Amino acid sequence: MRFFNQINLQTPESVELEFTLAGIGNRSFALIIDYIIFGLTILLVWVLSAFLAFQLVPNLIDDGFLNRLAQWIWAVQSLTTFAIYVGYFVVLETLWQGQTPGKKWTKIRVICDNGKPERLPQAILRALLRPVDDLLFMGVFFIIFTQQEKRLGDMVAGTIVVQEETSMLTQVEISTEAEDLAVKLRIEAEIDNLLPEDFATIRDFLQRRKNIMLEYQHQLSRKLAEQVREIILLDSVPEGYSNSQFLEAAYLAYQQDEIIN
Amino acid sequence: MKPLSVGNVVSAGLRIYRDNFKQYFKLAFLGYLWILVPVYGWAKYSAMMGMIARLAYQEVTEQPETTRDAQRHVKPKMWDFLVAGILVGLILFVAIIPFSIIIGLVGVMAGFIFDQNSAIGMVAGVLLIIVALLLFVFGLLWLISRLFLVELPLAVEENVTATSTIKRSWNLTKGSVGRIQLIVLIGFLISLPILLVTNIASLIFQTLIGAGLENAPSLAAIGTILYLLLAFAGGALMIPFWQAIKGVIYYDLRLRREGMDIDLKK
Repeated sequence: MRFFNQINLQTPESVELEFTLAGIGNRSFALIIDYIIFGLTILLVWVLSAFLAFQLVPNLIDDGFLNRLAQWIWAVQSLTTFAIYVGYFVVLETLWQGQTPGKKWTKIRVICDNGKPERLPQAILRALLRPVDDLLFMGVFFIIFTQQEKRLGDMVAGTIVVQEETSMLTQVEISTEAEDLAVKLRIEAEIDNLLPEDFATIRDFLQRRKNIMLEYQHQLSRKLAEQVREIILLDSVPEGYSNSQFLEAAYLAYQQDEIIN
Repeated sequence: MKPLSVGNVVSAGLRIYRDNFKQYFKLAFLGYLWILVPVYGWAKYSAMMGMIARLAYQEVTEQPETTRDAQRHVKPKMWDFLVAGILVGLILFVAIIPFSIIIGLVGVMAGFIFDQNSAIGMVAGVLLIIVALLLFVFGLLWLISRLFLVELPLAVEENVTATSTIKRSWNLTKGSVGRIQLIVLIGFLISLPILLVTNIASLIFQTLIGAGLENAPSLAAIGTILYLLLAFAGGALMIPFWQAIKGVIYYDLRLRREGMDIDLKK
């Protein structure tokens, strides 16, 4: 869609890859999630170490100095905080090939300019420049106003952030009546006339119908059933079946047809 | 086009705002000026805000309109916009009263518990107040989300009245309150940097006007007008952004709740 920036990459095998860039909305959302997780983790470390200190060391101050054990706890806590602070984005982006929990949730991913997965060096560079990008929201301006939506970290590391192709894995619920009707349709109607796009539209409806308001569900199923009936050269929607059962049956019949061919 | 993710709604809204900035800003600024005129001006203002949202909606549906075309649709419904706005205000007002009474009662109860001077009582009292306040805030946010799109059906659809547009917003937003809240949160965060820049710019202008006035005190009236214009311009700056976001949400919810895009004859 023209509201989202696209980018074309050419692999050395001259295969053209098209990506949709992540966009400021997804990237901010991902950042919010990551900062929340990040903040909670650090909070947990602090609470734990405070708890340990108070439990293990009854007298925090010995002879005017901090107790040795308390010093150790404090040291470990500081190191852990530092490790989380530095490592959260670097480790996760490296291990999960350009993703963090926030990016996973919002279905975006960091990749290199040439389309290869993000690796340790890029992750480090991006993380190093993150504080600079956060300063005065500089990153936001860069993402909004540059064609490739690169914040400073992306420019230095040579990375872009793209949206992941989402595969709709929602199951389609099929009634038993529709299963019977599907068998009939495969014999009596020209299911082959349905194009893959038509099938995708029917599947789309069946997957999304639960969220659609009832009156619109009725209108849509009537319209679609009528259209399908014309395409598969049927005189009328089989009697005794509802429009949506008919659509389920067409969906099923087409699928079975595909498997056989 | 398929329904959009929360982030993509914000990105698309921002994009539309950016690409049509001049046109939308002009409308928002003029609309803002109309507030100065009682009643008639307020209706005009509401209609113009609805018009910006309509223009943004037409952009997402890939049927861009000129200001004039949009005006032809929106202008006759000017008074409906005002009435719808007043109704929404009333609904919120009426909803807040019972909430406030409950909060008041909780406060009294908490005070009663405080009186017993025990640590547990203190903690319980404070917790009670916090819970009540959170419920209040979430309840209000929920209600505002359900009424978030009131302008849109009126601005876009035919045969919609001031009351039926509220019902439409209510039906469309059912089950999407969390989504709307997230969109508003992300939109707000993104608007922060823009606000930062414009606030600095406005500060500079103000200082300039102030300095100018010191040199020529006789021009005080002009200075005041300039101040006012600046304030209006600042206010008008972010309005189109939110109207564009509303337009995109409305579009997205029509896909989700009405299956507007599902058709075999494309």
